[in-house]
Amino acid sequence: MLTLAIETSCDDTCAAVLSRGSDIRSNIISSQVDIHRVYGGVVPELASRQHLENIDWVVKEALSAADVELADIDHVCVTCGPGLVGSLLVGISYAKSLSFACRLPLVGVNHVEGHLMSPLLTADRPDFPFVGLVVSGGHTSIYLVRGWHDYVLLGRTIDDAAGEAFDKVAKMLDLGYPGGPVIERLAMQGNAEAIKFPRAYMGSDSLDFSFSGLKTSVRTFLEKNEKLLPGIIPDVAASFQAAVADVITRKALRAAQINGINAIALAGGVSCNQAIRDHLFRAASAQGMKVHVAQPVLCTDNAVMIGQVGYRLHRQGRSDDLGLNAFSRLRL
Amino acid sequence: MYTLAVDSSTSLSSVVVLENSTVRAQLIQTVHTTHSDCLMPAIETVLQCAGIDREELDQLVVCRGPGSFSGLRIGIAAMNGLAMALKVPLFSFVNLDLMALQFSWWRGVVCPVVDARKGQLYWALYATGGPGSWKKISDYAVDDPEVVVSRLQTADALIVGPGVDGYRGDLTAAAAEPLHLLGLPAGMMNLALVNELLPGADRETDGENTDRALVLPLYIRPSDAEINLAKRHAGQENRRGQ
Repeated sequence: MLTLAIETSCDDTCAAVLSRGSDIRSNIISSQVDIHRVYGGVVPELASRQHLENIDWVVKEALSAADVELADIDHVCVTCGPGLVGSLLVGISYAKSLSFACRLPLVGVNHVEGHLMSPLLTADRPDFPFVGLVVSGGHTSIYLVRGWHDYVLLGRTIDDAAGEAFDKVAKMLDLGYPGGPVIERLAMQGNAEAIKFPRAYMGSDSLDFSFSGLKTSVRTFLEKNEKLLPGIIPDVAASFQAAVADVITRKALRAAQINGINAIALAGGVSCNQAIRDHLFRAASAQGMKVHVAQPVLCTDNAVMIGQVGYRLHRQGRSDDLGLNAFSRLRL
Repeated sequence: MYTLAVDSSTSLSSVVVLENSTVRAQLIQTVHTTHSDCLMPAIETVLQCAGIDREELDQLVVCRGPGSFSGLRIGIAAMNGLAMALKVPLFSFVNLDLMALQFSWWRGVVCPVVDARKGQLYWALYATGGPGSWKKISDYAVDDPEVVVSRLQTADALIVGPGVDGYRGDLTAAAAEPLHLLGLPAGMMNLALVNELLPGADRETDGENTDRALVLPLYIRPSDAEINLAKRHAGQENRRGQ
């Protein structure tokens, strides 16, 4: 059973071929980061334009890298939300036409579900049930994962996503876009305890997140300490990153404790951040819990994670018709 | 020779199956939400009505603009995908050219217009000399209605297209003399004529599906982000100049 999966929800044009829903035959990702960098963030209209230029060759490359023809494919999966509607529509329109032309079943997949289940693509996969965190530029949510398509939302951000906070702080520090990698790099040269930025826990049992106060606190600090720039930037980066790591770690552990679970799965682009991974690994292991994370290329946006979920939905009999549409908001 | 042609450049979705230059089936519908809802189901329906299997199609044609950015991308992404999967050539046409051809019986100058939102029109000028005789004599452009009127070159120009009705007042007010205005619902663009556009200058591919050139939209207008960035850069240059 061969799956062709397409993902265009934000600024990466992605296609992948999977065998039996988990064996990765190809994973093609065309990043647009160079186009959006000059604007300091993803520009939806430019992302849509670029997806249309990329989609054809990215899909062909995914087929060719997997050494298969379109005729060998058994079903087509595509992200239908949440995300940028203009971007989603390019992938959806293309996927629908392949499905129609080759008479293949079509399955629309929730992007967040793709991320949430991506730790299952590693050799060291968590068993059900586990606590799953999706921490990226667009999402910061925590779920109880009881099985495939059986999720309970335990908490989510009430304002900015964690990755968004990284981008905004990087912008304040004039470090360019995207913020995650550059803050992580500078943080290595800084003292994480130099500045005590606030951690928003919102009550001891709350599993919701808030990063807007932290962002404001960084801005206020920079305004007050303008004279110390740029020398203090590494300390700001390290202290900010430590605040994010503390909050994510505490919420993940609390979610596991409340639900009596000892497996935590971390997904989404922010899970590429080694300092945050290490912090969570150490704290979890001190409590006898285990953390599972996919390899970095499967943490950021990719089509493999969409194919994995779509394959399962297909096996359950899910099939979408040619009217499949894009949804900017889509609850999981 | 079976052709499937699609136009999703305006708020109407238009799908036609041609046998040579004869319409076998056509579906025109107003898009209430997005072209994404209705395009592929419309293609499926029209093929059914035409009694043609998708595998029997010989070529595909899609409108590449100008018009709704999102509509164009939906139509073009779908047709690029169909061409790849069915291994048939994909050609494109410009809706302004199609209208010039359709109204080439007008002797003089034809100015087709498509609503570009923000109070502007997409337009181009064509010299027409009787049925089938037309030549583009300006660039494809986007401008305020007053600018379009000022570029007409002759008082006898015919302004025609789905952009007319929304801008009738602005166009009339900008002209010193009465204009020849013909509102045309987008669905009344005659897609049956597309084959006549293909051998011309707008031919996108050489018909070889192996290394077929990708069809991309004719946007004409840059994105707002690009416009704003250019303005910021221009502002910085000015300040530097002072």
